[in-house]
Amino acid sequence: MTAPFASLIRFYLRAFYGFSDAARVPLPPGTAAGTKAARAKRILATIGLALLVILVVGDIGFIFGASYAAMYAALAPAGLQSLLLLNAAISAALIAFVVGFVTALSTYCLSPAEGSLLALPIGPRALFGAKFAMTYLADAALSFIMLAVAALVYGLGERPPVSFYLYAILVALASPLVPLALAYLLLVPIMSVSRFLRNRNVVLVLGGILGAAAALVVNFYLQNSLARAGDAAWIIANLAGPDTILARLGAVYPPAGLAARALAHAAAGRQLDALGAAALALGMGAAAALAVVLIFGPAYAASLPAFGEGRLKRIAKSDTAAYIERSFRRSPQLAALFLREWRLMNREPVYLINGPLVIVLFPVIIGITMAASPEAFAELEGVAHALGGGPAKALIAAALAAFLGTATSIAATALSREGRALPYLKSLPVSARSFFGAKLLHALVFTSIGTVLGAAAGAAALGLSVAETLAALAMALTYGTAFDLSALWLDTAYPRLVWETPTAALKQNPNAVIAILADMAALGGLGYLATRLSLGLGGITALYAGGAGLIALGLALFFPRYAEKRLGDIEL
Amino acid sequence: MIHLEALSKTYAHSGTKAVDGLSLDIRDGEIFGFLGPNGAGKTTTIKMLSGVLRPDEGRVAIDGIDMAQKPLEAKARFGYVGDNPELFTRLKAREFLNFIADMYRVPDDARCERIASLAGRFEIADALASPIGSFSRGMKQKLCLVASLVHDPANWILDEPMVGLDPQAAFTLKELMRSRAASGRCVFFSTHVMEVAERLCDRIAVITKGRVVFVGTLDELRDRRSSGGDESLERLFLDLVEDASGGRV
Repeated sequence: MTAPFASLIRFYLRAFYGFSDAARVPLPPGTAAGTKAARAKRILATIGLALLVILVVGDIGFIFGASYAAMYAALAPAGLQSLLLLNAAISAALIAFVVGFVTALSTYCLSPAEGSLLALPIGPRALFGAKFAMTYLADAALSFIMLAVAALVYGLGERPPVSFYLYAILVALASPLVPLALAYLLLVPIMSVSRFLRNRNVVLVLGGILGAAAALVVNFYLQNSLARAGDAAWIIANLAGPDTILARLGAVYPPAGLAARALAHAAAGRQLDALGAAALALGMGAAAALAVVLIFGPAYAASLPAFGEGRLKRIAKSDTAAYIERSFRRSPQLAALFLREWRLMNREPVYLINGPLVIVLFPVIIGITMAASPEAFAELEGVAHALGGGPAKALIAAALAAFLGTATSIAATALSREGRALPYLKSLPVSARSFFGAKLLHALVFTSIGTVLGAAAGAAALGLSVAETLAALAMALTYGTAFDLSALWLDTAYPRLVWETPTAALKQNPNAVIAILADMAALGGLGYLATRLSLGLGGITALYAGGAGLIALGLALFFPRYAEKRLGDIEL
Repeated sequence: MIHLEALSKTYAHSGTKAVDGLSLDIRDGEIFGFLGPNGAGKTTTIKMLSGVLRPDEGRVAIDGIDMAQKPLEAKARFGYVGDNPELFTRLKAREFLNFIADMYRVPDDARCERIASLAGRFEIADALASPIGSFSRGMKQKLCLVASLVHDPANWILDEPMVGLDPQAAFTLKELMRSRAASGRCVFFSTHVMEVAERLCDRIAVITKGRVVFVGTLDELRDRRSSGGDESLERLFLDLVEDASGGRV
């Protein structure tokens, strides 16, 4: 038996991350799920997930590591290296607040059914405390990486005692507590007084927009840090001295100053001072979290039921006949299927933000990257030159276009998104060819939009000729078509149909992750291959567009038969 | 007319045999009730009958059209109300009904006329412009009922159709079932509500542990149980299931 509070945290974590206890629960012997093959599949999936986590953590760690290493190299000669720790503590707190606020908003009510938790014998403070804990665990990861990397960089240079690293872990865990408490301090009163915001759609859209904005801010911060990494004078001017932003933030936000002081004391071997500062930092964090949970728990719980309220728009009785007369019109079956795909994708905020909107978001991120470090343009030109000129520019534009066109996850989650509605769809007189044809068409529309946007951006950035632009477009479009068909095949073979929230169908769908990783690997591989082939623009276009076109044709020929059989086999 | 012949189904994932050699014939012009305890195999049978699940063995034919041979033609011959009304909550009711009508290729005039009539009878006509997500459970069920009749099918297959309906809607549904059967169409539905089956059905089948243990009229069931003619269907049902389960319900 688990205590209700711990059980509640586990429930929230499962709902948020899509965790399951499948690995722990013994499966009945003799069932398919209990066979060695099924177990091997689960182990493989776990290894895949672990690799992905390592990749993401390694990527983020590398970016922060490069930035902090440059900072240390600039500050150490002046004996100001401890400012690195203050910078990391403040940056971690700021990012924890931004990410924490967005996460707290997006997960304020995970599903309309969450209000039913109020019927359980759980106090409002326990309910809010569990939600706080869930958000904390999501939020702590990033600030933990930031502080851990900073401590490592500092430690490599200063050779501090082992206790320094223990304090680093302690302050890293304490770091998100105050920012998250502040986030909820703002959020709960806003949600309590605003009827408009207590709507899951509004929250999801707002959370998505703020999330995108936060990602852009973090991206700008990272790009800017990396761009200034080699500028020692700039680093000293902005980090050292009593009037710098760093010094002012350290003064107004004591937990960061205490965290940095604890680490500096620990590095210098002043254990008692380190313990005092760390205990104060942790105490402030815990007190802030506890105070927010205790004070705002009842208000949080009171605001939950409104998320489950429906808002029905009634037509006047006298108008219904006219409404029906003008609203019901016949469409061809394929058009109706396509329209259904379009509407269901674009009206579900989780799908929209992580699917079609990616086409808009990526160029904005690239734009910000370029704005933060304009020399990246020149680097791109340099890469093209290093690749031997010729079709290199067109290939870079094609890769950009292809990646943008295939980044929406529409095809890779096409069947999974049906979820429990699939049995109903299977009862309709619709052929697998039409059913999947509409899904492919839906994916191809966004692939085409992304490809054209990417090719246009690439052409503008690299100054491509019309012939080069058309070649890039041809390569990217054929690649995108082959990719969409492959991704659709993947999701048809291994759909994730049992889910409670749409997040699980798209964001937490392994097929989306596999597709995007395979996409990156394929584009990288094709780029490398191009450097070995030494073909002209015409030759490489014929090879890549022709090859991708042939693969797409082959998939299009064999997929319908497979899809029909597979659809019939799916048991739900 | 629905013909089920020696249907069997074992779920691949769990290894559970849900239906075992089930055969039934549901005639035109009758209301046929499909009764059984939870987990007896009712929904699995209905899913095989509606082409949602592929049987391991056996055959399904709708109006003589084999489901395995000509699935699209067979599916066009029935209207289906599944066990889950939580469908496409992001669509508006109008869009959902238009989509279903398009799947059955219903002409404009006919769809307008039927939707106006059915949505009116189930009292959801004024909510057609709203997203399905804003509907209550009962309203979603009513919408599924309207959608299942938008092509005026010869066969109507319903899985627990009374769940979530208010008394007025339940009355309307029963009236619709009766009128469709009276006009020579076939109505096949599963239910847990014995009173509904008792008052509505021309014939019933009782299924337990994947096997049909009785098919016939209520009078035939009473005769078979030698119950003297006044026992409720509920009592007869419980006795039947208890016998089939070896003395345990």
